[in-house]
Amino acid sequence: MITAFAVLVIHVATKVFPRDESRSDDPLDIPGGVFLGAAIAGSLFAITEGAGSGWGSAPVLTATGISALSFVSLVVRQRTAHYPFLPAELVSNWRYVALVTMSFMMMSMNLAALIGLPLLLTRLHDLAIAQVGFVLLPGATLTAVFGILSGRIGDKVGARIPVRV
Amino acid sequence: MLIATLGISSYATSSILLATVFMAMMGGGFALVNIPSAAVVTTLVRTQVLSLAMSVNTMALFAGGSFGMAVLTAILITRGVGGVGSRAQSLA
Repeated sequence: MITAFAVLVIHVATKVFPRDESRSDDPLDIPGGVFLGAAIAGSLFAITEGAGSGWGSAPVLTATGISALSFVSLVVRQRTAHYPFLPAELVSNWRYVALVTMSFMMMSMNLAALIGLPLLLTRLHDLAIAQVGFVLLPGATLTAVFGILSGRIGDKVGARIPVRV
Repeated sequence: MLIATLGISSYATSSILLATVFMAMMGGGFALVNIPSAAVVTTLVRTQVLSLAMSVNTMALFAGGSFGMAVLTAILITRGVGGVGSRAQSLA
């Protein structure tokens, strides 16, 4: 069934996506992308592995080192590359940076609750998996409902009001 | 979302009903912020870098989700609240 969905998505994508778009001639800064990916992956691995095998263990220290080194390399690359991975106009746009930071924090809160709450409910309240599903159902429903509502509100009064609410 | 997060943190261990209510608030709040924030990106940057700007925003979303899960897992394993830690460790 998932394969069928994948085939359907490919078919729809070829129909929907425009064939003649304006394209940028700027080259892609692959080293910058690798540094960014390594910095994120290293820090995530260190946090996850640190709790299990100890914060001073060799894998955690290695991952932390790779992450820090990659981050420094990314900063240097951003400043020296002619066409950096993240364009300077995005990095220097503080409103955009604030928005991206907000997205990061918002999703970290949301997913932590989505993963943590079922664990609490099954272990502390001894709920069955179906009961946990019922606890999470209103949240999923409201996400769908408010998703449409916030789009409409955004069209009418702008994006600031729904974001502040 | 802030109220929902504080509510879940404070009351999820004592009341299932309150956990449900706060989780619903979290879902609604997430939708209220996520959809407009994607639209706001289009107003903040030039058209020439719009695709990249939106992809970086999406990357921040997923990286944030991974970060939240990683921190939560680390806390659960380290503190093991009510046996949740051992459960998380067995899942990891």
